[in-house]
Amino acid sequence: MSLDYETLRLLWWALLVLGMIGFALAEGLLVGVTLLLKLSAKTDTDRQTVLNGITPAAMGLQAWLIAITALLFAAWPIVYTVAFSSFQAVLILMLVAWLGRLPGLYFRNASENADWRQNWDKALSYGGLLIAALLGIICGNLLKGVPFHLDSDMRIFFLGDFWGLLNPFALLLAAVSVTLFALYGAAFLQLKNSGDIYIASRSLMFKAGLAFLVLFALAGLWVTRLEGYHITSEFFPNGDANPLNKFVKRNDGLWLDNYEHQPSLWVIPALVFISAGVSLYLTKLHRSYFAFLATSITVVFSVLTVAISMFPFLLPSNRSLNSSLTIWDASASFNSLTMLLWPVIIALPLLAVLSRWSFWIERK
Amino acid sequence: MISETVVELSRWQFAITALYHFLFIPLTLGLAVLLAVMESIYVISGKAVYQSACRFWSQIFSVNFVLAASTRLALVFQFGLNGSYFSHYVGDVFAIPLLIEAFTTLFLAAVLFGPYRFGWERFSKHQHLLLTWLIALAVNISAFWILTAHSWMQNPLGANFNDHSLRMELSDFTQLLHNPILCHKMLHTLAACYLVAAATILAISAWLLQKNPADQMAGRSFKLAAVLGLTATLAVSLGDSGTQAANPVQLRKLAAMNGDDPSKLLPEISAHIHNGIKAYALLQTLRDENKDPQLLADFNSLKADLGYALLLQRWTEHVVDASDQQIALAAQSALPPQPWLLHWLYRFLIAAAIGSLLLFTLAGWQSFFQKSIPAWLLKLSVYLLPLPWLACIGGWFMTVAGIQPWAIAEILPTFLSISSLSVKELLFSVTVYALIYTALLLAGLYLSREIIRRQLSATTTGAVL
Repeated sequence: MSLDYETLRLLWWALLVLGMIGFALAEGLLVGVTLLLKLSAKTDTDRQTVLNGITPAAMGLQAWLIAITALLFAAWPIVYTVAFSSFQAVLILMLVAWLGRLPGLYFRNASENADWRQNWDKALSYGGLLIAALLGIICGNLLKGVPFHLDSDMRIFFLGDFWGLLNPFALLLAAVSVTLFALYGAAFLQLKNSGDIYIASRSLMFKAGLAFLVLFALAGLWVTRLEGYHITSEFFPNGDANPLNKFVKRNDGLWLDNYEHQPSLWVIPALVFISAGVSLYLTKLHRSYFAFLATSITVVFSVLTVAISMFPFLLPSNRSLNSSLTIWDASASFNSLTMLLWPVIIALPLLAVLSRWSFWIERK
Repeated sequence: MISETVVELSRWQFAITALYHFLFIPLTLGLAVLLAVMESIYVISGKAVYQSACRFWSQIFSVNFVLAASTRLALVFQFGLNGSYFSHYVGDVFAIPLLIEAFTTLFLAAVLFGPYRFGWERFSKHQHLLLTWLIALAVNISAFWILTAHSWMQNPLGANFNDHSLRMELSDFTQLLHNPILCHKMLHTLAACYLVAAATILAISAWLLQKNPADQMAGRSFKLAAVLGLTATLAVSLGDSGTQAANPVQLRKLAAMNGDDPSKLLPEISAHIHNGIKAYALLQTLRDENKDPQLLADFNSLKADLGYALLLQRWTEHVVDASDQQIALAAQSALPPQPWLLHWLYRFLIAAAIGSLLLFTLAGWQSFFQKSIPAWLLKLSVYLLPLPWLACIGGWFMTVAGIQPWAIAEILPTFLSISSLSVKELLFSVTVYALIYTALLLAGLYLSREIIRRQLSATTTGAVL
C-alpha cells in the first residue's frame, strides 16, 4: 500500500500528537509526583514511600522524552530545529532539572546522610516545579507564535529573548500546566498510598483541581482574544517541504477557526472540564482508581485541545509570519516518512504497554 | 559571516555533551554483557559466589547506567540547541537511526532497568536472567543504531540534495545499513568498549584482592575480566578501521595518520571546489523559479560537490565570485587541521592495544594456571586502568577530528552546522553543562567508591552482602 505525501503528513501529525500524549502522561507522572514530594510527605520515610511509587518505572517514563524528541527530529526536522534553537534558554534550564532527576530518584537512598537526602528531595521537587512551569511557557509561546525567521537558505534566526518568552499569556499557561500536573500527580499519590500521604494528597487534589479548572477557563477565554494564525495563500500538501512557499495572516480569535468549521470539536476542551470535575467528585467518594483515570483523561484532552486549535500549524512565527511551520511544509521527505511509518505505528502502542507493565511489576 | 567564537563555543559544547555521555558507554555495554554471562553461570551452576558477583557488579552498572541515560537526554537536545543548521540540513536522514533506536532498544533497556534493579526478589531466577539478557542485547543493539548514524556522517550514502527543500533527503535507507565502514566501526567500537569495561573490572577486582586475597567474588571477576579483555583486545585490532578508506575525506585522514605530505591532495580538492561553485551557481538560478530541465540536469550532475562550495562561506558570502586566494584557503581547510596529532594519536592507540594485550594475557595466565595472583600484577592492573580509558577517548577523538572540517563528510562543513546563537548565550549554556556534568560525574564516582568499600567491609567481616 502506498500513501501520498498529504496523507502521510496527516498521519505523522496524528503520530506526533499521540506521542505528545504519551509523553504528557509519562512525564506528567514524574513531574506531578516530584512536584508534590515535599507537600504530600513530611517525614523521610513518607518521602521514600512517595518516591518508591515511581522510581522503578522512572527510567522508562523518562525515555518518552527521548522518544518524542527523536520523533520530532526525524519526522519534522525543521520544527525540531526551530523549537530547540528558539527555546534554547528555557530548555537548558529544563535540562538541568531533567539531568538531576534520575540520579535523584535512584541515588537518593544510597546514603544514610540526612543532608544528602534532603538536598536530593529539594532538587527533585524544585526540578518538578520548574519542568511543569516551563512546559507551560513553551506551550503558551507555541500558541502566541515564536519570534523566529527563516532566511532563503533555511538558516534559523531567533529574534526574541528569554524574557520575551515569559509573556503574560505564557505565564498563565505555566500556571495551568503546574496545576494540571499537580492534579494528575496527586491523583496518582492518592491511588498508591494510605495514611498521612493519602490524606495530604486528597486535599492537594482538590486545591490543584479547582485551581486548574479556573485557570484553564481563563486561558480559554484569553485564546478567544489571542491572535491566531491562518494560511491565506495556496499551499501544497503534496509538495516538497519548504516553509517559505506560502502566506500567513494573523488575527484575533483565529485559533477558534477549526471549532467553527467543525463544531463537534468542542467536545475536546469540554472533556477537559468534565473529566477534571469528575475526578474531584470521584475523589470525594474515595474512588481513587477512577479518579486517577479521570485525571489521565484531563491530561490527554488538554494536549489535544492545544494540538487541534493550532492545526495545521506546528510552530507559528510572530515576527516573520510566512516562516511559520505547518504540517504541510515542515515535514521530513516522502521517503523518510514512508520508511518510518510502520515501525512507529507498531512501536508506539508497545511503548505504552511496556510503560504500563513497569508499574505492574512494582505492585507484586 | 559566522563568528569564529560562536563556532568554537558551539563545538566545545557539543564535545562536552558527547564526551561526558561517552564516558558512561563502555561500562554500560561491557558490564551488561558480563552481568548476563555471570548471571547465566549462576542460574546454571547455582554457585553463590556468582550470585554475589552479580549483586556487586549490578550496583556499579546501575550507577553507570543511570548516568548514561541522563546524559543521553542532553545529547538528543544538542543537535537542535546547538546544531540547528545541521539538523535542518541532514535531519531527514541522520535522525532515522536515532528514531528507530529511541523507539526500540533504548526504550526497552530503560523500561526494563527498574524491574532489573528492584526485581531480584520479585522475579524467579529465570525471569530475572531474561531481563538481564534483554538489557544486554538492547544496549548493544542501540550501539549499532548510533554507529549507523555515526558512519553515515563519515560516509553519507543513500541521500540526495533536494533543491526545493534545500536539504539532504533520504533516497535509500538500505544503503545506510550497507555502509562499508559500518561493520568495521561496529566491531572496533564494541570491542573497545568491552576492553575498557574489562580493564575496569580487572582493576576493581585487583584492588579488592589486594585488600583481601580471600575474596572469591573478586577472584572470579578478575578471571572473567581477563578473558573478556583478551578477546576484546584481539577484536579491537581486527576491527581497526584506520587502514580503511571509503571516500576522499577518509583518504585525507589516512594520509595525515601516516604522516604523508598533504599538499599533493590539494589539486584534487580544488577541482571539487570549482565544481561545487558551479553547482552552487546553478542552485541559485533554480531557486529563481527557473524550471528548465537542462538546468536541473546540470545541477544534478554537479551537486555531489555542493558541500565543497559551502567551505568557501567561511571567507566569503558570495560563493560564486570567490577569488583564487579564497579557493586556495578553502582547499587548505579541507585537510585535517592537526595532522601531527592524528599521526601520534594513532601510534598511541596501537601502543595502548599492545599494553592491554600484555596485561590481559598475564592476568589470564596467572589466574588460570597459577595458584595465586602475584601482588605486582594486582598493582599493575590498578595502575594501568587509565590507559584503556585514554585510548578509548583518544579513538573517539580521532574519528571526530579525522573528518574535520566536515560535520558530514563532503556535504556540510562543521562551521555551518551551528545555531545562530550569541556568545553570551553559549557561554551560559557551556558553563551550565560543565558544572552539572562535573557534579554528576563526581556523584557517580563517589557512589561507586562507596559500593566498592561496602563490598570490602562485607567480605572482611564475613557479613553476607
